[in-house]
Formats: sequence, structure tokens, C-alpha cells
Amino acid sequence: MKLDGLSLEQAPPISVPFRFFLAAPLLGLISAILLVLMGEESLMSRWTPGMLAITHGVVLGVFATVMFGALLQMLPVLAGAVIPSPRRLGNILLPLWVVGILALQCAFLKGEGWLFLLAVVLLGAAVIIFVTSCGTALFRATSQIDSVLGMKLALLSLIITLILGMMLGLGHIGLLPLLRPLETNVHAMWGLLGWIGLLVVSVAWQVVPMFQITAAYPKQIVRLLAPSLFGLFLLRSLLVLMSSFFLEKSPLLPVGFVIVDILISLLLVTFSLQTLWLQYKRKRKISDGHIHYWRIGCVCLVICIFCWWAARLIDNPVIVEYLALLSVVLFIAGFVMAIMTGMLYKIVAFLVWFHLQGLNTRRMMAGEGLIQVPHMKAVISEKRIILQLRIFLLALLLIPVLLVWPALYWLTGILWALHFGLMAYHLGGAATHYRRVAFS
Amino acid sequence: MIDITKEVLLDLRELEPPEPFVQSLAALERLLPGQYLHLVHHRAPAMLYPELAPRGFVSQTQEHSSGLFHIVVWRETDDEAKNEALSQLERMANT
Repeated sequence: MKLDGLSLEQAPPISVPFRFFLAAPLLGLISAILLVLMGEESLMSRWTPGMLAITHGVVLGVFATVMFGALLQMLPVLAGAVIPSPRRLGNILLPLWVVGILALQCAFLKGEGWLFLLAVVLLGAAVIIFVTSCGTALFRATSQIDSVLGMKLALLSLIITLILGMMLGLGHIGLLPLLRPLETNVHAMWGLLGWIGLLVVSVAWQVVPMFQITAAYPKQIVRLLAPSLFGLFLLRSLLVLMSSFFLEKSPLLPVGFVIVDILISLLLVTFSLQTLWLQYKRKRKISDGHIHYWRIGCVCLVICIFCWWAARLIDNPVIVEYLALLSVVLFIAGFVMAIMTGMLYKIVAFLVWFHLQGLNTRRMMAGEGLIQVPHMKAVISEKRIILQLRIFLLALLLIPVLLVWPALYWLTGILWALHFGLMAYHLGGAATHYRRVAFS
Repeated sequence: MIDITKEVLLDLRELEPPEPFVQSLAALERLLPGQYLHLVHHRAPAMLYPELAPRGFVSQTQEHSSGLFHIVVWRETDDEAKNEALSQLERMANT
């Protein structure tokens, strides 16, 4: 039976997801400050220490941290996947994760072996603890909503990303061969498209119709998209393995890559266009920040795929390098950042309302006086979300210019710092709002 | 025939969370003796169910082949509302 989202009884304490949501913008802020401090040299290629530290700071520090918090909240209530002792899990997971990310960023910047080892151990431990807890809960899940399979595949992708990342980390200190760029490309594919992409897609099946009041996604897309993408990622990894070890000169391999890449691109474009179509056809025409963020994210994904293919079809190496870099940056700073920011604001405001409502029910049953539960729009005001959206858009539009004119690094860094600073301020304000009302 | 004075109909399909929950609870508080609440939604309102018993309400849900959910809610002590609500669900099932 399709359920209307959240059930109060199974929800973990609000402090569990909130500590992750509050840590994410602070880790993002560190990456933005790094961009300002490292200067334009860090933007010269994808392999500079600065670029690696910034990328991992955003992808792990912002995206994965938000996704950890969101999954700990959503799995029990959306999928009926109960995670035992969520508060204790959060207490163990977050310090391991945050220190691991900071160690990895320092390792890239300083190039010291012990820092890489520390990062591998801490991040490895955090991911294993997280995947074990969520994976066990998901396999025991009582609800079979459409998102469950995609979430399981996203967790599997996270494990593959971790294994490849640990091998690369050990490669940096000479304990294993450092197979760049092949191993790095596969690591990035599983991390960006597998872990992040599959989770965004799976969550979209629930979040878009529910919060944007659209029709449901077509059943075939919901059933087939995540498993097809996962299968194609496996196939692509196999092709990379074959191309590097066994069949280096086989003429069939390039054809195989083209076919797999066309299919991956078509599926991702289908997801984007379908989401934009559902939004366009919605009866309720009132738009809010959440919808705008989703719209920007979907458009960025389409442009990202266009740039990726253009980079493969054009001969000029300078333009190829530019388009390839732009494509990755559009995926991270455009598609994922937009959708995650939009969802974060909606989820946080909803959680504040949801937990205060739960508190009221318990008070009513105990015969105590009721508290005044605020409207969701009062938790984070729409005006502030739109202000943040404008800054985000400016920071995003500056990226194509920055890649041509790296001297603008300071302005881009300041805008992203403002983006994460405002996000921390808004989320911190929501947490304070909750405490003020709950303990009034 | 539906006795419109007995039914309070609430279409939740175009409402963003948490409005379906908020409006359903507000409508329940306004129910007069003999009246029941009829909710129409795309999904079963899982959040609402645990709130009903402590407030003295009972509900029954019917999922239609179209994917729509019809939920009727009445006061536990109100037999007249209960009979009206259940016969309404029966009529919905036969249409």
C-alpha cells in the first residue's frame, strides 16, 4: 500500500538527521575557503592537490553527509526499515566521517602518507558502519515502495566507490599501484552516478509527486531506471577492466563504450526530462524555492550530458579539456547541489513541523497543554530560500567563466562561501526554532 | 443517495504535506453528531492513522483500481455516522 510518507512512531530523534544536516554546510564552507586560499593554480587540472581536496570536500563533506542524515531519517519512516539505536549510530558515525574527510583533504594538500592512511581507515570504518546498518535495515524493510531497490543499489555503489577510493588512497602512498586516470574514472563514476545519482533518482519517485504535487512518474521508468543504470555501470567497469588488462587492441571495445555511454546518457536525460515534464503539467501553478532548485538541477544534468558528448566529438584538445571539466562541475555544482539544497530546505522544515506535531500528540495523550506548531514556511522563510537561490545561481553561472578565466577564483570562492554560510545559518535557525518551540 | 448533510468531503490530492494532515485534523474537530469525514487522496494517510484513536475516532480505507484512496473517519461513539460512512464506502466500491 502506498503510504503518505512519514510515520511518527518509527522516526528517529530529530537530533540524528540534524547533526548531519548542520555539519554539511560547514564542511562545504571549508571547501569554498580552500578555493579562495589555493588560488587559480588549483584549477589548472583535475589532478591538482587543491582541486582534489575541494572536490572531495564537496562530494563527501556536503553531499554524502546530507545523504547519510537523510537516509537515517527516511529509511525507518518511508521504507519501514528500522535502524536500531539511531542516536548511538549517529554519535559514532559523524565524528569518524568528519575527521576522515578533513584528514583526506589534508592528505591531498600535504601529500603525507600517514594522513592518507588515517583517511582510509576513518572513512572506510564510517562507510562500513553506515552501509551495514542501513543495508541490514533495508533488506528487512517491511514496505516495498518503489524507492527501496534504488536505495539498495545506491548503497552497493557506495561500497564499490569506497573500495576503489581506498585503493587509490593506498596508491598515493605507494602501497598499491596508482592507476590514474582509469581507476579514478571508475571511482568517480560509482561515486557520482552510482551512489549519488541512484539515490537522487530513487528519492525523486517519492519526493517530487509528494512535495511538488505532480502526477506520479510512469511505472516503467520507476521500475527500470535504477537497476538499468546500475547494470550499465557494472558493464562499463568491466569494459574499463578489459581495456586495461586483456583486450587493449580489440576494435570492439570502443564500440562497447559508445553503446553503454549512449544508454547511460539516454536514461539520465529521460529522468531529467520526465521530471521537468511532470513539473510543467502540474495543476497547481504556485512555485517555490524547492521546485526552482529541482528545475535548475534537471536542466544542469541535461547540459552536463551534452557537454560530455561534445567533449568526445570535438577534435580541439583545449575545448575538449574545457567541456570535460565543465561537464563534471555541472553535475556536482549544478545537478546535485541544486537538488540537494532544495530538498534539504524542504525536508528540514518538514522535520521540524513533524517532530513538533509528534510532541503535541504525546502531550495530548499525557493530558498536558499543547504547543503552537509553526507552519512549515515559518521554519525557513521562502524569502530567504529565494535569496539563497539567487546567490547559488550566480555562483553556478560563474563556473563556465571561471574555467576559462581562473583569475576569478576569489569571486567564485566567496559566492560559494556565501552559499554554504547562508545554508548553515538557515539550518541552524531551523534547529533553534525547533528547540524554542519544543521547550516552550 | 448520499446524504450531504452527513458527509464532510475533503479532497487532499492537490495539497502539499503537511496540509492533508493539518486539514484532516481540523475537519475532524468540526464534525457534528451524525457526520463523518470522507477523505480522497493519492495515498493512504499513514501519519493520520495513529492520531485518530487518541482523539476518539475510527477509520476505514478503501483503495480503488484507479489508484485513489477513499478514507472515511467517524467518532467511535457515533453509530449513526459509522453506518453512513460504511454505506458510503460500499457505494464507492460498487461504482
